[in-house]
Amino acid sequence: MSEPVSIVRQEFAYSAPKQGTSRGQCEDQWAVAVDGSAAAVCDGASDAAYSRLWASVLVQRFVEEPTVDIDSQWLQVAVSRFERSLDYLSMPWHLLERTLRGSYATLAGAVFRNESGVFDVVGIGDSSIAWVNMTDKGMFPLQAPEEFSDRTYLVSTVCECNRSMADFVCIKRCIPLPKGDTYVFLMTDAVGHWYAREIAEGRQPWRAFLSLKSQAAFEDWLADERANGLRNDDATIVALRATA
Amino acid sequence: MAYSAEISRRNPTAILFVIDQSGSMNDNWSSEITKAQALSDAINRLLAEIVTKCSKEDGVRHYFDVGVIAYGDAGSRDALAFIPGPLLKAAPTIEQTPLRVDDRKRLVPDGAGGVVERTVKFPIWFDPCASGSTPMCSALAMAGDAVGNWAEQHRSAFPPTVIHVTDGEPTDGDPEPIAQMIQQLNTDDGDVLLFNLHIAGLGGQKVLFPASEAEVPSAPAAQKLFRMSSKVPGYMLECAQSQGHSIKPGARGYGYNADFVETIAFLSIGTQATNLGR
Repeated sequence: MSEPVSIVRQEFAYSAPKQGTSRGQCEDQWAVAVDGSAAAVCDGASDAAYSRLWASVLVQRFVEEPTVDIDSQWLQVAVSRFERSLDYLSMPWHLLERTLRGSYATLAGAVFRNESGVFDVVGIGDSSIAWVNMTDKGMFPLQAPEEFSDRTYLVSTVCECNRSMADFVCIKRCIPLPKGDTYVFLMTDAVGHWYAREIAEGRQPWRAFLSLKSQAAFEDWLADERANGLRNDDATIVALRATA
Repeated sequence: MAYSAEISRRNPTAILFVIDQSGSMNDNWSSEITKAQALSDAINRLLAEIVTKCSKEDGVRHYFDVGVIAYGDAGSRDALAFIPGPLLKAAPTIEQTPLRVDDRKRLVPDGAGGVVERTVKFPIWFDPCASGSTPMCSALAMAGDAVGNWAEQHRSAFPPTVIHVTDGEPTDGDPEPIAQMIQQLNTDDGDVLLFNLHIAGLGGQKVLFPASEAEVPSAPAAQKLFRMSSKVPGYMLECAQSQGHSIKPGARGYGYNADFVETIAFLSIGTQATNLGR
């Protein structure tokens, strides 16, 4: 039985670059709405230019106008913001060429509907949302570790490249928020893959997340898990607590 | 698993073009241009493509070491010798050192929902050239030395790719054993890949990624170049299929009389860093 949500709080948000690169080169971006009504993470593609900027525009767009029904009109506003942020006239030839071919990012977003005591999630690509409470746990859109691979669908700044997006947007509506606390985690793929593997092996990965009390603790945990096989990639976790 | 090494600045790969500049390259490719001109256009576009692939907002990244060996009347030579350094040069160095720069027009977003035309500098590294004999064996041996040394120094790298473009038969012996030797060179991630593009000129059947000799023209030179070509690795099969090529498991990196649009697509598979970390 779902209860109206009283509060959604951000527990923490930690992000770290791929080992061997600088914090400024991390292409993961996240945002949480001030009122806790929405949150998103995006993973910008290394194999494109300005993916960090595109990921940043997308997460901001998501929390400003939260919806799981992402369509070309919703995206066009983000694309226009992205284009206005760039000085195409001063780019060197190769950067111009690369930028015109598009910037790319995944998107995973959650929208909390306080009045109904539920939340909706949307996923494009391999960033993930997981949730856990006293009666339920779940992960979306990918669930099994083998579903994570080197290739995934990404949201592009080139509208023609998003034509088949409807086939790749995954939506799950009305996930109940029962009485008590529900923890919701938004993750980019390296951490999502680890989480799915832990679940598949019968462990409770959310306990490790909830023990992370600082960015430094997250980075220590990441270093340990990378040594144990967590993929060396940019890594981001955003944790929310919805209390009904 | 072979051919799974991540291509990154810490772990770049190498691409070496081996280009026929013998006298027969003066023959027409189309009614407008010679094979030599078509080939130099393609190499310039490919070098530009590699630099573009490495371009990020913070500069051109060192994902690839790239070289061009040309062979013809003057023997085998480093066609990018005007760029300082070894035969295989870092992509950022290639970007910095064109032979000359041409102006081209491009349409770019104007920030208000429209587009505006701007002049873009486009670099040229390679000019057409064609004369004399076809010392293919010497050129492939030079390529083998270069990628062999590179592979020894980059054991964890995705293995080098050698892309050989020719229209004819060698005048200095049998290149097949040298091709086999090149394909036995390796890094810890797999064997060196050798692809062959056979430019036959006007008319004729086009073949791309054949899986058996039966799919290749019966001319001895075509059959030999097919046998000299590496099997296309699994990840490249996926890339080629995603680009719309009909390609079967067991296909080899061989093209016969493919037009240059197809050739560019074919070569781009070799340079497409699909396993770059996101």
